[in-house]
Amino acid sequence: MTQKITIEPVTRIEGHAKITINVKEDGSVEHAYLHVNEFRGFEKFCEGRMVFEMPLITPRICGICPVSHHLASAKAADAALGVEPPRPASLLRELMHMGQVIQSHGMHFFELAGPDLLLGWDADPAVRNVVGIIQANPSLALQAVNLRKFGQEIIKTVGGRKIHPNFAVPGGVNKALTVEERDMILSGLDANIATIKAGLELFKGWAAQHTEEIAEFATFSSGYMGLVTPANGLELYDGNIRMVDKTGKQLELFPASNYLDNIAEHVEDWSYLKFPYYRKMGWPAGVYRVGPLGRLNTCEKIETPLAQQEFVEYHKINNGKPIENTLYFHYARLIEALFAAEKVGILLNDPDILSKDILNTHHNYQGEGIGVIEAPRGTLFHHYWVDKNGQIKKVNLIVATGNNNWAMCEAVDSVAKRYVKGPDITEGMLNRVEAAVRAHDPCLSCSTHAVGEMPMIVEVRDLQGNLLNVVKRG
Amino acid sequence: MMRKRFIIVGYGNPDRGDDGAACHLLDQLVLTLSKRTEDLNEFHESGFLELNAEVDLWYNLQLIPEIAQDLARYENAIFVDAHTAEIPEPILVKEITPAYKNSPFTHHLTPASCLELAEKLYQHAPHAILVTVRGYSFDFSRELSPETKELTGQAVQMVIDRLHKSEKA
Repeated sequence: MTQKITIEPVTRIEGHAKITINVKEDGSVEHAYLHVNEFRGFEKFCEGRMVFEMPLITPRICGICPVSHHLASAKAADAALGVEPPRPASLLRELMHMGQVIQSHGMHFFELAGPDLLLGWDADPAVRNVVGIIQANPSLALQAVNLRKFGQEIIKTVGGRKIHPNFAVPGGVNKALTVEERDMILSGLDANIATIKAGLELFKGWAAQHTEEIAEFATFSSGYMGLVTPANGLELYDGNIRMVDKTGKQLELFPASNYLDNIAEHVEDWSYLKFPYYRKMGWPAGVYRVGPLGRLNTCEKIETPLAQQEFVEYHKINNGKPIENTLYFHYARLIEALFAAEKVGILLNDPDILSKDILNTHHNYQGEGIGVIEAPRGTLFHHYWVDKNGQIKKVNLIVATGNNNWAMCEAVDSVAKRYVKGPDITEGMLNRVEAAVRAHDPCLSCSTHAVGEMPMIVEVRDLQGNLLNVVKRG
Repeated sequence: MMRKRFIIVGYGNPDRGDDGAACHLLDQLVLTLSKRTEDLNEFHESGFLELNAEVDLWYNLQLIPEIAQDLARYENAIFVDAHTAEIPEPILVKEITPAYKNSPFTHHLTPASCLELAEKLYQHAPHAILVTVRGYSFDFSRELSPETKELTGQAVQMVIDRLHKSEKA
């Protein structure tokens, strides 16, 4: 049975991301807004559940970054129950996290962002995608799919299952790594490092030919935030949170447990997604960015050799000062992917990685716990309040995409003002506006708690609010 | 290359009510067609099950690019999903062909995109249909709404009928 239906069945969306572009009479853009529908239902959904269930429940917020939620949740549960995981358990958790970073960053560059860069913003959308990449460079396309698969295999091997990770538990993990599993992951490492390096060379080659566009495309100042090592190195799994200003000067260095002292959330009536900011500077002076660009502006070095080499070259772009160009999110993302791959090698060669000492069962109830991790797209906070029976009383989540909400809105406004001349929207204009959001690799199904595909609607309105044009993407 | 006859690919979030219709449908297929009681657990653990010599099952929260490599190993694919009121049919069955579709923001793939990746990367895309069931409630729940539960039961039978029809052919 064949039916001719134009609406894809997977557009089963509860909420839409929408962009509204207000244009003046001459067609120039007065302001552009990114609206995200967010339902905080997940936090209520968790109330009454047992804290040890949370690492199983929270990955199901969405299918894009389940591992980040799983691990942030386990860390929050550790803190709430007052239990420190043994070192081997922390290594294994971090290894799983590196798998997530590799697969997510790899997919983003090669399949979401790469086509724009390699095939051109104005290329026919029918070929401006991964299929166009396959046609242009079939070998690289296959390597890219294998890179994502490598990350997924790490997650599956470490966690023991492909979907719904049931691995990290309060106090540690429930599965040790075998020698065979370690060697299997190690055997794929060099090839995938080579793929990431090929991606870096591609980006650098593109950037060298598009310096003007990089400078003009959503370049603006902000603060930055990310986890760092004790020596202010790049950190994705555990550490203190560092905030710097637009000049790179440190504003704060604090443990995750103090996040509420430093982060507040602003509300706008045109978006359901809140706008986190640095509390002491207030709104809007305290806005900041997270994710790859934020993290590489926050850290002072990378403690793995290949990524450090790239980091040094990267930071020359702005003479060691923070790099504020939205398109450099892609560059930073690839450097992080390289770091994550190197970290996989370091973790797998640690003698403790094969230890069976993976769970601490001695609890010391604290009643409240905060877990923070650097999800691929930014800093992710899980905060639980727990009663003496281990039942969840309250949950607060600040998801990575939420932390970049202001940045995405600013980028959309900036790009619309630079490239859109209304009311008609060309494919190239629309693609650039989308790319301004896409650079941040948002997890809108997570931050909106919606399901499935996230179509985008672009509305063009005059200053009286009259609708002039609508473009819908699904 | 010898290819297996069928892969049934289900996707959706089983913790978002009717979004998990495919998960429920595949579970029912296992319970109906499998002779091994441990198969359901194995399927839940790995997201993959060799149901019999002709049919494999695959399940995930969403479609992912590496499924292209799996798809290339089959003659036929049945994708199973849920849909909203935007589509009038309670159960929609339609053929799909390889066609890559850009996702504006997210790491999301359509079945047609996965077929295109299979064809371009691995030189073969299976003949494919999409079976979707109308969802009514996408709240946080592991249960299907009564309406979707009823439709899912019907869709299970439709999938079984199609498998049997293929055997006879």
